[in-house]
Amino acid sequence: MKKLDVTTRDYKFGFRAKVIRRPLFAQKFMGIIVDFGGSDPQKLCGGAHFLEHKLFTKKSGDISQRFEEIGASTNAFTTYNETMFYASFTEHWRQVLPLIFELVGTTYFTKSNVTKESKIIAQELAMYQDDPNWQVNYELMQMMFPKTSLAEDLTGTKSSLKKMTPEILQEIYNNNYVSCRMEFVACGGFSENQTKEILREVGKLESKYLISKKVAPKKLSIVNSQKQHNKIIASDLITSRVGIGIKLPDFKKVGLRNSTAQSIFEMMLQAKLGVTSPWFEKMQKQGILNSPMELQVSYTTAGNFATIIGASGKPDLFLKNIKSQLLEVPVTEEAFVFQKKEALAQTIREFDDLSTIAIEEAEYGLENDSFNSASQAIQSLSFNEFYTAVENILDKSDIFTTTLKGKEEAN
Amino acid sequence: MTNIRIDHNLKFKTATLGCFLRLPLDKKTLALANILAYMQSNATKEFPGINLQAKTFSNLYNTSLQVFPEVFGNQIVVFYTINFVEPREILDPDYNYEVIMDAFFKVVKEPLFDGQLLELAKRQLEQERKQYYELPANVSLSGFFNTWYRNMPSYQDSVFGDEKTLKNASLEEIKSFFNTLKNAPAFCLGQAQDPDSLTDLVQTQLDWPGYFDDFVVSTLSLPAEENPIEREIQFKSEQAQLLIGYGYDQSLPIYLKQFGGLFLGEYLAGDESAKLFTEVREKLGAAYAIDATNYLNNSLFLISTGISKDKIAAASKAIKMGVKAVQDGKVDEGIFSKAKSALKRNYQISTDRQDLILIQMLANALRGRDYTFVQRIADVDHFKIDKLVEFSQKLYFNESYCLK
Repeated sequence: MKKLDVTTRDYKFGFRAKVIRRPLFAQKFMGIIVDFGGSDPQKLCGGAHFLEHKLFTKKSGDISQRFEEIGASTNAFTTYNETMFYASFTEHWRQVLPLIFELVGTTYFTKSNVTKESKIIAQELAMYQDDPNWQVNYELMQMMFPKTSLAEDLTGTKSSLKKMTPEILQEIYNNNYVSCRMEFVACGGFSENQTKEILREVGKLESKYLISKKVAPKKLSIVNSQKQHNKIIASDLITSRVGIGIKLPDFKKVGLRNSTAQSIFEMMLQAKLGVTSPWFEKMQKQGILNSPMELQVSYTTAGNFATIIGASGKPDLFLKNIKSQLLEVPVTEEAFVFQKKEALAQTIREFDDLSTIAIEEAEYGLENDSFNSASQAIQSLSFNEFYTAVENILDKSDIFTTTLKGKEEAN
Repeated sequence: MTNIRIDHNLKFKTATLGCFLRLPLDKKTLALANILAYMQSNATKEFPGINLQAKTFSNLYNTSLQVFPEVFGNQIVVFYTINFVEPREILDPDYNYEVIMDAFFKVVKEPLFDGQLLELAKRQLEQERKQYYELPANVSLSGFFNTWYRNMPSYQDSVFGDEKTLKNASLEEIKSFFNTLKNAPAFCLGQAQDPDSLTDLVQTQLDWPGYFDDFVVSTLSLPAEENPIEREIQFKSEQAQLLIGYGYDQSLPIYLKQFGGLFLGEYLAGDESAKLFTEVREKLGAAYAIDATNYLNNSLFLISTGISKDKIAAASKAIKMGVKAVQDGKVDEGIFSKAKSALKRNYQISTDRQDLILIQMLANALRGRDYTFVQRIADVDHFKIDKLVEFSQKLYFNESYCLK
């Protein structure tokens, strides 16, 4: 399989930059990823996400408008593990590059702009809460990771949003926005000379804008779950919504890198519960499940977990069947081969999506991993290795469930 | 001559192909098209089990098969699309255009008319429909369009189609619909690294009469009926949904309504400096996001936002004032210029998206033209402020729909 063409440079104090060359594409992408996200310890929950919003405000106004002036579009996102700021554009990369560093490397927090932003984020939170899957996920997290950042939405709570101040934001920024916890990535049709120029400029901009200080590496904390493992909640929904949370062990303790373990567990879930599994067809025929479920596997500093969310008019039967399928039925070698083919195709497809591939490469970078080596690890995996890894992970896992009872079921 | 066009793919690692069949829009036809699409997505004569069909495409390196109907103005277009990794990227001797096309056309041309499969499709659609209407943004959008077309019921329920048909359609009706579809005007479009070989393979499969018919529709867009209305609906949710719609004359020149609508949408709610983005989000702090979209095929310019329930009146006023300012010729040149750059960038980046390239090919086939992204960018470049003002002056307020 062809490899992604990546040039990497390490700078002083642990900052790293990568340029991915994808010729013939019109789009160019540049971004900085920060190894600090919603699940990391922070003074107020939602702090990482609040910071993501507020870094766009500078003394001279909204920095997005300066990106717009040169025809670029800028945005950012916060996940459990990281915050990423980026720009998408077709020309003027020399002007975009310093703006990205200014965006991440300077702050302007005032009482008035923080208060105003808390109202906007409250609307963002309200928008998420209007989705029934949000509540299912929320209840699972409350049971699996109580009293941690994971137990609340990444955007925070109504109360934490009101409590946010410029001082708290600055403190969170100073503690986490340090050069050794950041990585720069560019992707597009850059020439070799342009690649060298970008990496040279990045060195200058890193010294100019980023704080260089040593910070302790992030550590996985041990969180005691609630004793309660199953919740049933009445709802206005017509069809019940069912969620299964699987609290997973520290992947290093089962001898796996985070990215490899995540891929293996995703492959297992797809093989056992996905649309190509005989189980899924059986559930459809019995009217227990009509549509595919949402399957997600995550690793964070507050703990690793998988969530499975689906809609069913027969939630009790659904839960019973899914648990036995997960814990009692092994993945066949044939299903494993299918999953490897799917993974290979997915890797190839990602080459054509510049934003996705740049973000993935940056995310892997925070784990001292790379897109190429992570793909290679999965393609060289044997069935025995896969089988053993799945057994080891499942053996140390704990299962939680939430049901939002629909009216169909109540009737 | 067969309606087929497969372009040369110079940069993507995947190929894409679509068979598009069009029918006049009405609610019942849309419901039947949805049921057939679900049945064909699940299983077909050659692959008579859900698991068997899913595995067949999974084994073809996760080839993505999609079957669904989509409404374009007064037409329904049934999409049969396939996106697959180019065989030369894999180097597996058993994986080639021939096996992929064989599987694809088995799905397209040979449905399985089976009672159990029909019932499953109905259940799936019913559940999807219920889940769709759990989200306030979907409830309000559907409510808005059903109000907009309150005097043209054929054009209501334009996502799923007629509810009764979805529940009660018989196998005979689905069979009969499939026979109608086989005679509908059709076009096959795609993009591949070896377009000649793929064209040769596909050509032999295109034996339905519709592939030799005229695919072009002379008037695709629906007229807007000037009949202003304001509706407020109670709904249990965290946010209110506010939608404000302006109509315009269907017979406006295409350049004016297409680019006027695009520019107005970008000017009002495109990037962070856009007028309504700053007014409603930044100044009022009332919303996280605001959208302004030109529904060219509906002669409708729609502004929508999910909003704090205590700021509905203020947001509604800000939206109407924003549109009125443009109608009065008060256009900020700086924001207009940024909107122009953003539209050009979006078209340039569209050339990196195979799905958008396919949609552009379909839009061209429906309108009987060959309008490239390069020409679109040139037209954006030539669009001036006076044209934006001219387009905005053609708009009339026609509906306010609020779910709260």
